[in-house]
Amino acid sequence: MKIGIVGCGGTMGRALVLEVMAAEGCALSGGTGRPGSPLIGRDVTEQAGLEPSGLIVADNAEALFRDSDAVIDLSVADMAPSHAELAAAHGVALVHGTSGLDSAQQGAVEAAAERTAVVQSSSMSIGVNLMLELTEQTAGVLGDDYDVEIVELFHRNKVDAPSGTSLALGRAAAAGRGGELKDLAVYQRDGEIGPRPSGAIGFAVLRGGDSPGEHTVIFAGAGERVEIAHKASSRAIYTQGAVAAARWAVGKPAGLYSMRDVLGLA
Amino acid sequence: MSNPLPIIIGIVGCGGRLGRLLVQEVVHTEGCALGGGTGRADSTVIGRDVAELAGRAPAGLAVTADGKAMFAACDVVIDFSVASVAPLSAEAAARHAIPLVLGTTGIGNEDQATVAAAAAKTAIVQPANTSLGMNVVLALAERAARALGTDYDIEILGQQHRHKVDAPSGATLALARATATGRDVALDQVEQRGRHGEIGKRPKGAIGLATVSGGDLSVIHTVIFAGAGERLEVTHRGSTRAIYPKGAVAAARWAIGRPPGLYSMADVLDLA
Repeated sequence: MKIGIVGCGGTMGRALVLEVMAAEGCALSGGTGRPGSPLIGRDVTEQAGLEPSGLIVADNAEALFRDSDAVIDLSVADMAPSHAELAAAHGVALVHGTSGLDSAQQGAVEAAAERTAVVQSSSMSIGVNLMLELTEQTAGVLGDDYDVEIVELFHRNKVDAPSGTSLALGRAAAAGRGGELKDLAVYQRDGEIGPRPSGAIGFAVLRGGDSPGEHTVIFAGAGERVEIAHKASSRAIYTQGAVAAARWAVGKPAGLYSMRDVLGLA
Repeated sequence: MSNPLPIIIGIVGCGGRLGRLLVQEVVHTEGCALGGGTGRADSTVIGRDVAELAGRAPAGLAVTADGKAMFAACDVVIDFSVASVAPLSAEAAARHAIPLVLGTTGIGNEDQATVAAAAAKTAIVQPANTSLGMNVVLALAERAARALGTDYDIEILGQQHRHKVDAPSGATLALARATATGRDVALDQVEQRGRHGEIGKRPKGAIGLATVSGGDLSVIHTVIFAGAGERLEVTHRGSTRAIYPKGAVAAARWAIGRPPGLYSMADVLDLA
């Protein structure tokens, strides 16, 4: 199975290159970088710390999609529409894990999923995806008497907030209560915030150090709290999950899938 | 919903810390009335007013050492006292054909057999923990253990106040049983307790139990699923003991009119 990596020079991109090279039955079909990046023209595996493969980091993704069975995109939001369009045009399975997409970018991914298999998930880890399910279930049982707060800590280089996983957790909690996150979310508290609105879902974002991601969902009731926490200690959980999703998606009919489908948790 | 006749609830060990909170909860709860309270024969609380002892207006009920009289006067009895009393309460409930909510932890195998035998004759609710949150955590622990399998090591940590005399806590054991059920194994085949000395490598599939004791306020239970590169944790924090009496009284009301049997809080809360 030939797997390509868009954005192969970033932290996640290099980790994905290593993961594909190590995965049995998988071959790396190539990698791309941003136009103008100093990585363009370098060897894809060499820049990831492996022996050279003869594959050159390209600034145009067209050839990469043409030569791959599946492409993994954990890169940046503004490239999402063009990658999704290329996947649809070439009938290539797409694993899309970029967070921070605006509604137009998300629309482009969903349009592509009408023509090819797209696995979209804010987190590729088994633990996070189980956490999403547990959060929805707990929110449903405990109801509005238990205030939902979502806290995250990520490394200092993460540029969007809240994380895609935090937002997915918020959507899961809202769904468990039969509501929609956009009506319940509180993203900022600063100054005279007044009493907590009933039914609100609050977010708190911490940044620092090198953490690959920690999330806690708190259900705070009278006299007791239930907390569900996930702590990543290695980025490998994301890259392993992404490669597993790519293998799963090849040959699937067109559609928008989630990691819960890949992991059989749905 | 109006019920002309209140449910008469008796409290075993009404002079203890939890006993007093149970009395307060019964007095507070609409549709419920206090039927009496017992204490140990040698206790200084014998003869005092049950409600006054709990800081409420006197109820005209004296704390008694005579359990028989109290069971005879009640629709349902709650016992959160000590393990040695549990079989006596269970037998008394069976004899008087009234339900019992038995929240005592640390009951030995022989005494538990007595409780089970009594449950063949009357409804006994035996919650490991009466809080809604803890029972949700029990359900989550079982679900997560089933989904994650033995690639994720299960460790259960109970943090309890310094006054608690048995360990692991009933909730710790209940969480361990829930995870064992999720993996379809018997807990006694896989549990690891009291690690000390040259313990060797962790056996695959083990379920570890550990206890921290100290302080006086919150009781915290955490189930950890530790995998390669990630951990999932499910935690319950009880910040006041008031959560337990609320659940106990809810269980007592639920048990009225149930057929004989041994029930859990999952039955009461419809989480099963």
